[in-house]
Amino acid sequence: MALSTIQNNSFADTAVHGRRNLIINGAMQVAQRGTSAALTSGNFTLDRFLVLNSLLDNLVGTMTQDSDAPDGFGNSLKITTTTAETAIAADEYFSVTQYIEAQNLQQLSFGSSAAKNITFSFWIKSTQTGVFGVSLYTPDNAGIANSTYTISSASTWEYKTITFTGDTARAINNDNGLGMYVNFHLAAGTNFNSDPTDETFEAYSAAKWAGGHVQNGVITTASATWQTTGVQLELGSQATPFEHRSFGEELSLCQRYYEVTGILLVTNLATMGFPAATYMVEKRATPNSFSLNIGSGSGATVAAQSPSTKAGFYQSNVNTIHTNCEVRVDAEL
Amino acid sequence: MNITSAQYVTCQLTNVDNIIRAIIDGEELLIPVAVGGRYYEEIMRQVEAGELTIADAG
Repeated sequence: MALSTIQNNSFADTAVHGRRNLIINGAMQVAQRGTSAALTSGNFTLDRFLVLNSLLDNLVGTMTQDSDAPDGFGNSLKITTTTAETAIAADEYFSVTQYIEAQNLQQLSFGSSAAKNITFSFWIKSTQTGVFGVSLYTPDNAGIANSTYTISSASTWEYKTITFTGDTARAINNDNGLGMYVNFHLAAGTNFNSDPTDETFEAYSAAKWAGGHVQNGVITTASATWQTTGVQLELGSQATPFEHRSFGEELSLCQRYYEVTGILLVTNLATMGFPAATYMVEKRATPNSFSLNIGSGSGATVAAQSPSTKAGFYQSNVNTIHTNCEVRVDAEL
Repeated sequence: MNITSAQYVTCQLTNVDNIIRAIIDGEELLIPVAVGGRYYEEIMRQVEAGELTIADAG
């Protein structure tokens, strides 16, 4: 093709470029922690997606990786309620959330007159029909925008898109901290949903957390389910087709925040040296924690390497037996 | 976050207490002593509030 035939609008923000999706693991492929977890606040199952809930006192259920998915996808994230919450009190909520690292959001130009609109798209399926809330919360300068989508047919995959107006007033820090909460709301008491829906960012208040959310039935109905996949958040005012990435690429993106690796533990560090391991992917920050699954014996600990605390770890105390050890490294936001 | 025990661990390489062994929500975790870490910050908050004591290294 002659250079003169390339259209200028191919370079516009509205053109479909690669690396559009700000969500990691939006096709729900990667599950390093396992494929099922309880609905405890702060729990992850599928990488990068966690449950946030406040004060729910009856709810028992699971968050799982499920093979039921719309055409073009192999997996979904599924919430199943086993024991229902009897009622949603004013101070209770339940959300499925992804945290986005702040420095990955600089292209949005929030906090300036050049702030860009962003579009959220996803596939959704639930046994409960009705109006559900979503919100984007930017904690650095406490901004929030919210909207709703309607599930029209029970137990049927539906595709939804929502466009949010860029925030000209509140910047997102250019660092490795938490830049944005992307929230799917499944239940919200009146403290959290009483403010009207507004797709334009405003100053945060609790009433805007799930503004406009109505349907609490997934959480208040035994055996109810809610599923999503194909989750995409992208710059611009138009949803584009989901950006499929290979499993290996998606795993690498997830490993910045959580990695399952291993080390051979030894019994005498003075004579055998201090075993060390380098992460497959450099961590976002010095890890929050290490969790060890020691093959045999006891006593071993590991610690972050120094000064390269994000690069790897080493055995810092002896084990009673030479053995293999699985190490789970958490550097989540 | 339910923290039921916490104890410093001395590194045999550096002789520094650079880890806290803690039981958090029923799971034993090794927590780097590093400002900004999610668990470390919560442990120190609970210590400040008088809700938790970190035992010396054994």
